[in-house]
Amino acid sequence: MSATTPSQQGRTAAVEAREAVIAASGWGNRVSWLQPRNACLWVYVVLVGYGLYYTVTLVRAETPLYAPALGLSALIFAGYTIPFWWFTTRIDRYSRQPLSVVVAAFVYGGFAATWTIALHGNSAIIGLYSKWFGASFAQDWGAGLAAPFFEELGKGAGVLLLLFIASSVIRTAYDGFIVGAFVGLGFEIIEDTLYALNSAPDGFGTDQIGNSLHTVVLRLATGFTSHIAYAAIFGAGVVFIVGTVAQRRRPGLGLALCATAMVLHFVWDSTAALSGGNGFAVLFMMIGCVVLTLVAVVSVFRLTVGAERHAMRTVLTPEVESGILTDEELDALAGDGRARRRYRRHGHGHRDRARRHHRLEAGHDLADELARSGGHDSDRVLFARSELERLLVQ
Amino acid sequence: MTGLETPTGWVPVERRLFGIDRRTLLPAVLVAAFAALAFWGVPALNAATDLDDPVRAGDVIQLSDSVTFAPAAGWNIEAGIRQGEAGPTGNPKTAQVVHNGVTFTVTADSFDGTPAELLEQIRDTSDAEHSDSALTIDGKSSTFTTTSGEHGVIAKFSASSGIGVLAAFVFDGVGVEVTAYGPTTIDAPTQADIIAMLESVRPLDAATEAGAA
Repeated sequence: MSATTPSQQGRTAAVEAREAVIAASGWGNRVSWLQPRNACLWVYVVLVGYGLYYTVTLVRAETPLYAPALGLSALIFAGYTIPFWWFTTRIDRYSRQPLSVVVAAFVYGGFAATWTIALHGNSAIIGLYSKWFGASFAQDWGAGLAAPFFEELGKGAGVLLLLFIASSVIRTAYDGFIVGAFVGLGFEIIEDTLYALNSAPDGFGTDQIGNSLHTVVLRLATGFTSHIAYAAIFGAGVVFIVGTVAQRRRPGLGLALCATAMVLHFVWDSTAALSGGNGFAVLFMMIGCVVLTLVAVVSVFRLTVGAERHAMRTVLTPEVESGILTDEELDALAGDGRARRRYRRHGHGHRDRARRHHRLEAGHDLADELARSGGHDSDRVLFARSELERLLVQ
Repeated sequence: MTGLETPTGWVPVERRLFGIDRRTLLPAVLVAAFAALAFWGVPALNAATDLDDPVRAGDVIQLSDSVTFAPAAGWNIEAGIRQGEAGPTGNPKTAQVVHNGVTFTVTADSFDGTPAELLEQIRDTSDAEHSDSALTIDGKSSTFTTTSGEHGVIAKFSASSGIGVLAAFVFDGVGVEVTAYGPTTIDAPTQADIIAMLESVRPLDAATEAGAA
């Protein structure tokens, strides 16, 4: 029987820690969408199915007259989706969500949360406000007292369903934050297209392109700080409320985050009523709401990303001990944007800085492959290490 | 016993309830219940709740910041806000009053053209929509003059929801569409109400001057 050396003991502990964090975080797990015993999947299918059916009927009804407005706004918002999709994928840089999950989130937000839940709920509750409290009250406060309830809970319901459909990969509040953002993105795109379409008949339909473009510009300007941000905050809250194998239940914090998203939405939808119709006050409130939303979403990001960075550090620590990565690179990979920029700037000259950038990308690839293999030295893991060595000698 | 790994998605038998994974039931039921509330529950409550807002003598309804009309006393206001009662968000551009199965709707929006051109635009839009609520304008239109001296055009129409009249006015860049439709047989008092409401449509400036006078 031979004793292990301290370095071997340390390496074993680091490797065990790596395997434990991979198992807990779900990093590298696959999602099976064939789950006939999963009740959440059936509810997801029904809600999205109706939403898709409604979309087809709406397009068929509007196309004879408003095809130009519909086509143009759909094209513009499709293009608008690209940078936000890229940005949200980019910030999901640690244990990235599988493509099927983010697509499912986007589809739910775009078709189920909008048509199946929000459209019916909002219209009905605003009708009731008018009947209970008068037309003037409904005109001023209807949107602000309807949308935060049906839209935020509708989007949050999507995160909840996906949490139980893809429980192998949605494990942390940060995962909920990312999934929520994609639900919000889908909701934003489809809702914006609807608003643009609803503007087309303005002026008795004499200028459908002009009217819908006017709405498109307004929605483009405020898109990021509305549904995407609200749903991201709400999504993190859902995971805090429910808890997972990797996320301790914090129901108070979760409810607070959900309430924050709803309050921000209420303020945004009620700026005219809250400001008494004063133009300057409306503008001030809108800017204030945008700033508050940005502060809230960045705060939730910072609150939840720590677990992801810890996972990245734990997965790659054995690679530092074996000399594949340096301590500086580990700090950059497991750090924030400033840490990554600091690492790149320490390069001497443009070529060295480019090499450092490539080393970080290759380090991320290695982390992904280690997660996929459960921490074992698969062929892809060995190749990813060889890529790092290749980038070292260039 | 060999250490077999549980296949992805395998649900242990003790966790099944009628074949469904027990762990997924509560979240599924919660979401389904919420969706049912939004899709059926609240809409059903809204449909079952009557809107009781009868027009009082002297009421005037304002649309946007441009047009007013005087609804007939006893009719029920289904949409729109009385002049002077709007909050910070202002008056909507559509108002609707109903009585004895007849619906009277007024819509004001920007339009550059003549009343006859507005009527044509409405006809073209309705023809292209092909929806259940589309209306078919029957025959030629004739001129119509309100009590404030505003000239418009009026035509009869038929729709799946009944028959009626459609009037179009243009006041200094603001187009006004007025529709009144109902069953094929309408009693005389209701017909008189419709004519009176049509004649009361006027731009906001004219309404203000009339009030001052």
